[in-house]
Formats: sequence, C-alpha cells, structure tokens
Amino acid sequence: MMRGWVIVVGCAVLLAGCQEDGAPRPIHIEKGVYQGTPDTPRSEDELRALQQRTATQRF
Amino acid sequence: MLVKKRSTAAGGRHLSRSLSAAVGSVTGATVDRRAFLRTSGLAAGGAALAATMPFGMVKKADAASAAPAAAGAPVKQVKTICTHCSVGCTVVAEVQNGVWIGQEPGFDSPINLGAHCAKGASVREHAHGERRLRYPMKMVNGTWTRITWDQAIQEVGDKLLEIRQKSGPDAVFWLGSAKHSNEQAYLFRKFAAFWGTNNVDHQARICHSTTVAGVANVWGYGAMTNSYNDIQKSKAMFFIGSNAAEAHPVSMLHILKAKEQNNAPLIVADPRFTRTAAKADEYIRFRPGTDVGLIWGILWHILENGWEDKDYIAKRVYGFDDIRAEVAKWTPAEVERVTGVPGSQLRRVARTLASNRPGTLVWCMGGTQHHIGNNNTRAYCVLQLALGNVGVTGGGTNIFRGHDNVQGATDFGVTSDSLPGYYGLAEGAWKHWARVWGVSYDSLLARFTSKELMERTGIPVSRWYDGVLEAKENLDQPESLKAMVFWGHAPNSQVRLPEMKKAMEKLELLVVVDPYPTMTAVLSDRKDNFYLLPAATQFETYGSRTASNRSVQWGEKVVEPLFEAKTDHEIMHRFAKKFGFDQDLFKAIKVNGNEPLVEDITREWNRGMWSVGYTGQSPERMRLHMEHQATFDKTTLRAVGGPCDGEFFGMPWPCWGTPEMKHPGTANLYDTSLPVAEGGGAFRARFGVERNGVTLLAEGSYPEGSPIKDGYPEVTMAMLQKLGFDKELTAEELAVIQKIGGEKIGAVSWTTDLSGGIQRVAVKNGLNPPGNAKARCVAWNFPDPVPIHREPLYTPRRDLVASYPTYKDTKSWRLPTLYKSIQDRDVSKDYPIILTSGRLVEYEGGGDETRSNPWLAELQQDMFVELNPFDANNAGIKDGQMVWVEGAEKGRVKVKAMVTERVGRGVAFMPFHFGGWYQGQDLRGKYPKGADPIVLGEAANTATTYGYDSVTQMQETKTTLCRVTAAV
Amino acid sequence: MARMKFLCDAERCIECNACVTACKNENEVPWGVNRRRVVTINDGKPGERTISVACMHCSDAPCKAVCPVDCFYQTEQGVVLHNKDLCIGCGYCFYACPFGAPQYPQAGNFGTRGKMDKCTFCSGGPEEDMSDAEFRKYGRNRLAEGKLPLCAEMCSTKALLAGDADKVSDIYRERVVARGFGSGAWGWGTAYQTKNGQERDQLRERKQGQ
Repeated sequence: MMRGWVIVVGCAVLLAGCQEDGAPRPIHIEKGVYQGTPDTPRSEDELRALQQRTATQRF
Repeated sequence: MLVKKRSTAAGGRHLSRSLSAAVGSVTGATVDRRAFLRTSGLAAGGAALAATMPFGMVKKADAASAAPAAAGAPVKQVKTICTHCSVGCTVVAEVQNGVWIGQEPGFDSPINLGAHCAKGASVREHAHGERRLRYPMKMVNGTWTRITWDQAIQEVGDKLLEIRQKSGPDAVFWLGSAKHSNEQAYLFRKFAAFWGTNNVDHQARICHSTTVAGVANVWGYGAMTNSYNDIQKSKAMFFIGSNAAEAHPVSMLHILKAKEQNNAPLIVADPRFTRTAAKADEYIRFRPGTDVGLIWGILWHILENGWEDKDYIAKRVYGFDDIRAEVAKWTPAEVERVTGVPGSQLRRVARTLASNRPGTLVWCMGGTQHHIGNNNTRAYCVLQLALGNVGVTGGGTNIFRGHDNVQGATDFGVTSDSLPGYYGLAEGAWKHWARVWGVSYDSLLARFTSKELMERTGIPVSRWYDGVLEAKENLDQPESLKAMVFWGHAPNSQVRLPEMKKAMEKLELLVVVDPYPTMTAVLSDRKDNFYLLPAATQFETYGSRTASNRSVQWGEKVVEPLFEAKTDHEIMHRFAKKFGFDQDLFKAIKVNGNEPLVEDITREWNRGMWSVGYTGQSPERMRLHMEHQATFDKTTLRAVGGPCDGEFFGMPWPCWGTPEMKHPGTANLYDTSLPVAEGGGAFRARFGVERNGVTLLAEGSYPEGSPIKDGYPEVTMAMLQKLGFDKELTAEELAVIQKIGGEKIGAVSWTTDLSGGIQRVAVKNGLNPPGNAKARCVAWNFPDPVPIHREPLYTPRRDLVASYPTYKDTKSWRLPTLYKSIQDRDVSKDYPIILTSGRLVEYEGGGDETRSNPWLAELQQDMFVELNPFDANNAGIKDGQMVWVEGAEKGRVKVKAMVTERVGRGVAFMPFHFGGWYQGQDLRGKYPKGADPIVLGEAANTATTYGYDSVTQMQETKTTLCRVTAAV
Repeated sequence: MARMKFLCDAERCIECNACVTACKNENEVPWGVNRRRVVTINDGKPGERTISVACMHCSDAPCKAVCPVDCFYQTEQGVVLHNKDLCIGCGYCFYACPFGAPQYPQAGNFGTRGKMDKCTFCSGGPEEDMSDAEFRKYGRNRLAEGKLPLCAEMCSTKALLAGDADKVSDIYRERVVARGFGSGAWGWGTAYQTKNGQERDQLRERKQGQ
C-alpha cells in the first residue's frame, strides 16, 4: 500500500518536472518547427548596405 | 576525395589533447568573463600557465579579450602595416579604451585591397600577447630571474663598456633587425657608428644580400624594380625560387589577376612543386643550386632563335657579347645534364617568354641563398635585359623581399658594409653622415679603434659565430667577438646551429632584445651574463616602413607597449645615455623622457638619404598618403585627384629632392617613358663612363623630356655648371654646396649636396640625378664577372665538380672563408639526399612570434620533412613516422616524415620556422615561464651546413646534403 | 536583395588559411574548433587544388532537416543559424552536413560533446544583436554592423566571396569570362541548387581526385 503511494507521488513529482514553462527547452517538439527565441530580422536599409558592400570584393 | 592538408604529418595529437582540457565548453553555456577568456583561443594554449601568471598580466590579458563593440566607449580605427612579409598590407585595428578589440579589412589600401594571409588576419593576437617576454630577465645560475629595466641597462651597459675597454668596440656585435621601422633601423646604424664598430648587420644578409649586391651591380639599385600591383600588367610571369603563395600570399592577388585578365602564362621554376607551382601553367622542376645553368639554358634558345631585343641591348646594355660567349656553352644537352630539365621544355619556356612581352621575373630565397647567389641574381637580370623587359611597366625583376621592413633596414644601412643609403664606409661616406648628424668627422673617428677598422667591412651576421670561435690571429680585427646583442633576430634562421651554440656558450655576454625570448633563450647552456629585454612591436609604436616595392608607408600606434616592453628607439636612447653619447646621437632629435621623437628621426634621414631618394618622404606626406589611400589607382599606384594627385602611393624611392619639391616617387625604376619629375628614370651611371674604350653610358636612350638625348654620368655641380643649370640654384642652396665642396665645388654631387639643390635643378631640367647609363652584364669587380655555374659545396653530382668547381678558399669580411676544401670532401655516399628549406604560410622567420599565436599555431603543430615516396620507400619510412634528418656536418634533427611528391626524387625539404628543440631534445623547460611558444620543433638549420656567397657572405641554406633514417 | 551565399573560387584559392585565422580572430573561436577549414585535393601533385570550406548555408539545409530538437532556423537571407540553448550536442547534423561544418567543443573531461558550433555567416545568433551574450555564444554579428563575413572580406586573393548572391555571381561570372572557362565555384551545386548540381559537384571532385 505504502509502496503504491510512493510510486504515485513519485510519478506526479516527475511529471511536474515536465511542465513546459519550467524546462529550459521546449518539451513539445513539432517536427521541423523552430521554437526558440526569434532572431532580429535585418531592415531593408541594412540589406541594401550589405548588398553594396558585397561589391568591395570585386577584383 | 577531400584530404585534409598535411593531415598525416601535422596531426599534433599530443598537443591538442593537452590543450583540449583547457578549451572546455566554449561557445555553449553561459560563462563568466574569466571563463570566457579561458576558453578563447589565446588561453587555450596557455591555460597551464595561468597559475604562474603574475597578477598584472592576468588583468591585462583579461582587458584584451574581445568584447563586442557595443560596450559604450567609442571605437577608434587605427591604420598601420602588417608586421610579417614585405607586401605591406594595411591593417585596420579597432581600438576601444586602449584595447585592440577588432580587425577590419583595409579595403582602401591600393596594395592589399583589404586582403590578408593567415598571418595578417591574425595580428590582433598582439592584443593578447600571452606568450610575450614580459619584463627584463637575467639568467642567474641557469635560472631566468626578473630584473628592472634600470638594472638591466646598468648591468648590460657596464659589461659592454668593460668589453669595449678590454677588447675594443669591434668585440661587440650589434645585430639589428628587419623588424625595425625605418626610423629605428637608421638610428640603430647610427648607434653602432657611435659605439665605434661596423660589426652591425641584420636579416638582409641572409635573405636578399645577393640580390641587393648582384642587382645593384647590374643597373644601380638592388631592389624590386616595379611593384606587386604592376604585375597586373605583365604578359608573362616567370618565378624562380619564389613560393609567393606561401611567402607573399597577398601578392598572388595581383599575379592571379594578370593570369586572368591578360591570359599571362605563369611559369614556376622550383625544385619543389610549391603551392605557387600549383597555380602555374608551366612547372619546371630542376636540381637545387643549378639556377645559372637553367637561366642560360633558356637564354640559349632565345639567342639561338634571335628572340632577344637587339635594339634595347644596343641602347641600354653593356657587355652582352660576353654573355653570348658563356651562354653558347649551355646547349640543351648540357643544361639537361646539369639541371635535369629537358631541352624541349626550356625551348617552350623561352618561346613563351619571347612572345609574351613585357614579362616579369620574380625570385626569392630559392635563388639568393647559395654560395653563388650573386651569380644567380645577375643571371636573372641578364635574362630580363635580353628580353628588353627592364624599365617597362609589366616587366622588371620583381624581387619579393622577406620581412615587412627588410627593404628599409637595408636602405638604412643596418649592414656591416655600409652607412645608411649605400654610401659605403669610405672616408667620404663618414664625412657625409657626420655633416648630417652635426658632429665632427674626427669625433666619430675617435670612437673607432683605427681609421682602417672604421673603413673596413665588418663581420656579417651569417658569420658572427665564426667571429667568436675563430682564433683572433685569423681575424682582420684585433679581437674575436666577446658580446652579442640579438636585437630582433631569431638564431634558428641561420645555418650550422651546433656551431652557433658553441659560440653562444663562449661569449662573455649574450643579450636578446625582442618581443619574444626567441630560440636564443634556450639554445645555449649558458648559466650567466645572459639577458632578455622585452621590446615593443611595430603595433606598439609608430613610424615608417618600406614595402618590397619601395613604397614607404606610415603606421600609427595601435596600443601601448604590453607589459614592460619598450620601443627600440627608447632602448637605444637608454643605452646611449649609459654609454655617454646620447647628446651626440640625438643632437637634432627631440627626446621626451627616454623616448626619442619618431618624426624628428624621419626628418633627419630625409636630410641625408640623397643617394636613394629617401628625402622627399616627410612624415606629413606619408600620413597624407595613408589617410587618402582610396584615391590611389590599384594598378598604377598613382593618385587620381585628391590631395595626393599624381603621386605614387607611399612615394616609392627614389623620391627626389626635399619634401617641398613634391616629387611623386618612382613606381617603376629605370622607366624612360616618363619624365624624371613624374617618376621616370634610367639605369644608374655607377661604374664610370667607359671601360677599355667601350662606353658604359646609354646610347640613344633617355628619359622622356631629357635635355640630353643620350647617356650621361651622374649629376654633379660641375655638370650643372657645364650645362648652365647652376644659375637656377637659390642662394641658400649654393651656400650649402659651397660649404660642402670648399675648393672643389664641382665635385659636390646629387648624393652629397645637403641642400637638395642639385637634385631639384637636375630633375626640373629632365635629368636623372644618378645619370643615364647602360645596365652591366659584366661585373668586373666580382669573382665571376660573367655569372657562371659552380657546383654546390655539398653536391651529390661529383661527376660535375671538375667542370664546375667552386672557388679557392679565401679570406673575406674579416674571416677565413672556405670553398674548395669543403667541396673536395666527398660525403655524397653517406649523405645522398639534397636538403633544401623554405617557408610555410602560417609562420614567419624564426617563428617565435607566429608559433606563439594560437590562431596560427593550431594550423601547423609539427615540424616535418618532405620526402619523395621513392626515397621514403627505399629507406623504409612511412608517412607520419618520426625520422632523423642528419646533415652533412652531422647536425641531426628529429622530425615527422611527410611522404609527398611535392619534392622530387633525391630531394628533402624542411620548413625553417620551427625552434625550441635541439637534436631530439625538447627545450620547453628552458624558456622563461609563460614565454614559451605554443608550438616547438626542431630547427631545420641544426642540420644545415657551411657555404657562403663569394660577394656578400649569404648563407647556403638551399642546397646541402643529408641522410634520412627512421627514428626508433 | 537576394539571399546570402558563400562562393569559393578554386582558381584563386591559394590555401593561405587567412579565412581560418580571420574567423578565429573575429569570433574568438577556441583552439580545436574550426568553423572554417581549407581542404586540398591532390596535395603536392599537378592538379592540386584547394577550397575553403565552412557552413555553406544551404538552401535546403540537411542539418536543419535531421535535428531532433529543431534548434536550427534560416533567416530571410538564407543564413542557417542555430540556437545553442536548444542544441543537445547529439551530432546528427555533423553526419548530415555535406561540408563537415558542425563542430563540437569537448565539454568535459570524459570527452563528452558540447553544444554544436558552426559558421554563422558572421551574423551571431538569436540573442539580442551585438550583445555580450550573442558574442559569447555565437561570435560577432557583422551583418548587424553592416559588414560581411570577415573570412571573405580578408581573403588574400578574393577567392572566397560572401554576400548578396546576385553580386557574388556577377563577380564570379566576370572572372569566368576573363578566363574563358569556369569550373571553380566549388560546392555551389550541393549547397544551393538541384540534385543535378550536386551530382556535378561530385563528378568534379572525383575527376580532380584522380
């Protein structure tokens, strides 16, 4: 009886550890979908500048 | 199938394993600042030492760890020049709070257009300086002990003065450096003069001395005639003994451009199939040490077919008939017998060179480092003269110098045979410099033991250890050498290390002034009178340096000297003060505290370097060029618009007259298609006006706009008077000329007139100050007036010794010099394999600096020897196995075998940058704590042998004999 | 603006390793981790060629496809990046990558693998642009500073090109026209094009390997 309780409580504790917001990484993985922090996109102006800069390698 | 380069031989597993523990979790989890530092590349190599680092050191290194630029304080961009090879790449450093945090491409530089090689792209490691020599050290009973600068100057100074007193000033050897700036190099030579000796020299002796002497004796100046950029205009490129892809990687930017846009064939002649050869259209493999035979073999086909430029030869070349006579002996059969190259290939090469003009010829140490090096360099020149390729854009002899300022240090006379500017050592030269320095000739004379020794060529660096070991009766100076000062020079770049070790142990005093301890710190078993003084690098000071193409570039200071390092000019000042000649040495140079003002040194050499045209490049003009780099054309080097309009980048010398005269510099030497005032010129009238009734002056060839439509001698006051141009001199100029000339005012020349008036008036009237002569195919003042082949001292071809013997033993440069007695000893049975050496792209020179840089060290962790599979299999040697390479004088090195077809049968190759091992023994424990380079290895030169050029004492590193056996 | 690409012109590459040390310098990459390497074919023999290799930021990135924790993402400009907080250091991406780009610093004394590290096209990672955290985990974010990868910008012979794909192609095409032949754009088929392109690359490698 006692042992049964230990197992139940133990399982509950373990499952609690699987809470999404308590884990350092996503728990539910949707295959092929990046779920990490999103990166900052580059602005149009920045991209134009980079395009321009590519030409410095011409020789 | 992709194969990692040198994957087998350069595994370096033991090293990477010992380091990996320090690497830790790097780019992953969050780490604190200290942990980050520990994981960054620098500390990866040095974690084991962290515990032993003094506190101040940790702080500094911590500050140097690169943080992103967003940290608040403004980021300053500082422009300087790479401190490795002679290409002269601009380095753009980003500095924040005095810390070098980033490196950006210098796109505006017309020389490198932002490009770098592995070394240039990693110079920021200087900010870490983890393996630098940190403070003055003294060896006490075999242990390195920290001392203060004051104590170091005091003790070393006292000892030097004692030796000077006892054995004379010539008992001390001042070994300078190609790593000095022009200002430091000039000051170093001046310093040696005040010390009272000509025993002063630097790396040029052992890299391009045979070029400087050889080429200067053909047409006037011993330097690269054109520029790296000018190669873009070549229609053909012939490389011999140059592995530019590894030794001068950024030059390949221009070379490959020519290949692409001009479809210019690239021909590479080298005993090794180098990475440059990998880019070639035609590769010629020939036996090391047979350059003259090979060149005459090509010229044989040119003359046989009448492909030579007859008009050019008639107008601009002297003595070509003597060449015809010598070349006639080099039939295709004989060339093949001597060099191993089939006649059919050389006929093809000759045709390619003849039908693609102008073509350039490039050589490096593969050509120069031979006992007949001066013959080789002159033969190359003659080939270009025959093709009419000199003095034209796209042509020339583009001699790639080795170090970042080896050209400058040579020009500024850090050599035992000349004062700055190739003035020589004769009384006139001393008087010229005494005038520039504002001291009396007699006071200089008094510093020397005698007038004879003052005018006698000193001991060359290549022979300094013979100057120690040789009995004094055999020397042309009163005493053997007692003290050696290594001021920016690695010992492992010199041959016969076992002999050098003996000499180091015999000296009364050994001093190293260097940013790194160098192998000097560990090679000998000295127990005392041994000092290491930390010097600053060029990133820690400012001043000018001369690239191979003669452009003089001004570099600014990036960071303050690390740790207790001091700049070379400050150290010179401290010693001068100790010796009591600081007042005279710095007469016209302001000194702040102990640091002489760099700009004042520049201005002083501006006032004296007339003979080379180092007079127009003032600090202000050089700074202006660096600031407006973008305005210079990337092919011609000429500024288009902007404040430097019409000038060539870096005012490549000669830059005639005073800075105010605004001469643009000379991009291509001897180019008659331009007026002298716009960078044109002609071959120098250096050897008189005629010989045996034949004129030495040009005939019907002259620079554009010349008032004299023919050859003429060098410009003197008498010549100006004769032409009536002397009226154009100002009163001030005339007064200076009169003061110098006294009674004989006509004898004052373009090289001795301190007013610059003679040069100004000459150039204004279209005259070339050094005259207008023919290039000389016959150097009658040399042992071999016409370049001839002589078998190497250690040759495997005993059958050729009778036909092509070496010289008789002789005495030169104050020392007995052996030739015949070495060659007569046949060791080819015991030592059957030719041993040659060269560079790797990751390392430079003796390698102490580059092997201490983790970003570079990781790429080349093991010293190795390249062996052909044929020889390896015969000796039962497998790729990657440890082997002993034993030289013909019994020096042995234990290295990894790299079995490769890169070398031909019977030839072995070793890179010369490694050091810190000696004959199988790892000397890591002998370095001062924390200053041992990350990578150590056997020095190739432990196994190299005797042999010195007959004119310059260049060492023979490229052809000797060895045997290779498996190490058990 | 087209996507970002690398191109290594094998006719120009001289195996000088500037790209390797520039990368180490700019990103403070530790000893033992090589985001970029130079590989040689036919070392020391006629036909010797070298290529600079790093993450090519493939169009259809195999690393991204096989990652069990989906730590990869691709920016609008085609740059393939990953999140080290999600990475479990399993090494699948290394097996999937045709260029051998993923690197794993040794994490502990028992040889355990740390988080994967690779070329970021000098554009950092998902942390705040140009922040300390971004620099520590991923290296410098040059794209955010208006600059391109330093390996390419410092290449000794301008063999390695990086940036806007159209511009990069233009530069390369000019060279091909000048040379009269073109076979140097190593790896482009595999990284950016079709299956045919990949086969072409492999065929070329085989031919050069002979």
